[in-house]
Amino acid sequence: MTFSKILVPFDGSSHSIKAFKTALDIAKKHKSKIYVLTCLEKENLGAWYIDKRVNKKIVQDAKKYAKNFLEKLEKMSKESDVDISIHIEETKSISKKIIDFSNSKKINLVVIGSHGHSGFDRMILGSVSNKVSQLAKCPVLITK
Amino acid sequence: MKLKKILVAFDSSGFSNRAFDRALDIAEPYGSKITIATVVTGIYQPSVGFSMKYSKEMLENHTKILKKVFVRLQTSAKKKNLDLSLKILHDPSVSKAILNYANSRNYDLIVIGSHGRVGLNRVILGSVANDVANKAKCPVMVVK
Repeated sequence: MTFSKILVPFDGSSHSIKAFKTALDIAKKHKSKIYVLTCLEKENLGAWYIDKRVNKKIVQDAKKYAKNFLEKLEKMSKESDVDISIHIEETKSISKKIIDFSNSKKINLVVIGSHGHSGFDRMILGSVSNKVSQLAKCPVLITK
Repeated sequence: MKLKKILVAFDSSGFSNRAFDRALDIAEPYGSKITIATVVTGIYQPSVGFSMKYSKEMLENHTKILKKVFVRLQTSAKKKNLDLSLKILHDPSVSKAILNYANSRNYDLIVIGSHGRVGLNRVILGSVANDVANKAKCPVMVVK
């Protein structure tokens, strides 16, 4: 099987939901396993100068929220009989984490939305999808 | 996601051959129609840049080589029971030709190699792949 492992980097934006649905469809046809990876950016929280515990609390809350959200995806994939494994990681650089993850798990295909939460829409690729499409070692499918 | 029509941007480099293989893999369970698109850019003249003038012999030569390659591709597509067609585009700009063709014919997916015949390998995306990934309206799969 050539596409046995599919990675979907997920940030909860509408673009990433679209990417997940595409991946689900491909996985159904190819009987592959889906890895969903959500990255929480450590540096970007900005509360470190008040109190370090604030940051910790924010990360914990974010993790909880992400878990709730990802459970919905789990349900969706179970309905269509697709294996799924969910990962939530804290990191300093999102694109680097995605690439490291895809290399270490030997992913066959990355399905990623053209944009995430930020950036102007539809003009050019978002920064993360741009970096992933350039540096990943496996094929990258960019959904629009 | 529907995957009825897939466009493969092809220049018979190693990367585009790999892109074609991956396109076959992904298309197999869908039974999609695959179009091989090749762009003939014309001759480069330093005084005018790329022009669309070629001698008849040269054009005939080009198409002859292309058809020969196409026969080879067709045999591998037939093994997987997929429809294959060839489209030769004439345009001085490769990425523009591919984008115009894909956007006007409502393709569901463009498969493209990360590099073509020129460029620093494996550092960044090639110029054509980058342009297509940025500006296409449909999903794009970049194959390494």
